[in-house]
Amino acid sequence: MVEGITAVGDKYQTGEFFLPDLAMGAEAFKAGIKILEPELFKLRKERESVGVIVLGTVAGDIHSLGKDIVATLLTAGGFEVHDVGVDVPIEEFTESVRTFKSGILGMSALMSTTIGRQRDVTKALKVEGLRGKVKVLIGGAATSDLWRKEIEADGWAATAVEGVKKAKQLLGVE
Amino acid sequence: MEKRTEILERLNKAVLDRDPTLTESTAKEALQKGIDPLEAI
Repeated sequence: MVEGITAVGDKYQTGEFFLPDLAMGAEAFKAGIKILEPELFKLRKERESVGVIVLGTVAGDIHSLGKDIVATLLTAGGFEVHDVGVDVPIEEFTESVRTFKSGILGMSALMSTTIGRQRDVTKALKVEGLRGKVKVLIGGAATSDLWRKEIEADGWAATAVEGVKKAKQLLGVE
Repeated sequence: MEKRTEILERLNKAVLDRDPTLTESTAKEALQKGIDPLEAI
C-alpha cells in the first residue's frame, strides 16, 4: 500500500492529482491499515522490540498522513511506537520522551512556518537534560538535511521508508 | 490460485484509485490468503 500512496503523492506533486485526490488516497490507505494493523500488532508482540520511539507532528501543524505512514512502518519494523498526534506542544514531546524512555524522538513538520518548532523541541530537550538520552529524527515536506544540521538533529528522512531505515541506524540495530 | 504478487498489486492499485472500500476488502483478502500484513503494507 505504501507503493500506492507514494504514487498518489507523486501524482499530486506533478499536478495530475489535486488535493481531494490526495485526501481520498489517504482515506483508502487508512482503510487498508485499519484491517492490517491489528494483525501487525499481534505479530509484533511475538517479537522483541528493537527500540522505543515517540512520534508526532509539531505545534501549529495538523498534517498527519506522513507521520501515520511512518508510525505504521516503524511498528511493522519492530519498534514500540508512541504516536502523540498532531499539533503537539513542546512540553508534550519532552514529557513523552521522559515517560516512555524513548531512544528516538521523531518530529514531522510539513510547512516552512512550523519547522522552527523542531528546533524549539530540540533545544527544550537540552534544557531538560534529555538530549544525550534521545536521538532526534526529523522529517516532513519542509525539512532537509541542511535543516537537520542547522538544528543539530541526529537524522533526517525524506520518505517514510527511509525514516524506518534511519531510525534503525540511529539505534545501531541495522 | 491468484498469486500473492497479484493481490499486492491490486491492493496498491486500490489505494492509487483512491477507493477505500476496495482497499479494505482487498486487505482482508490478502490476510485470508495468508499474506504477511507487513508485506501488504
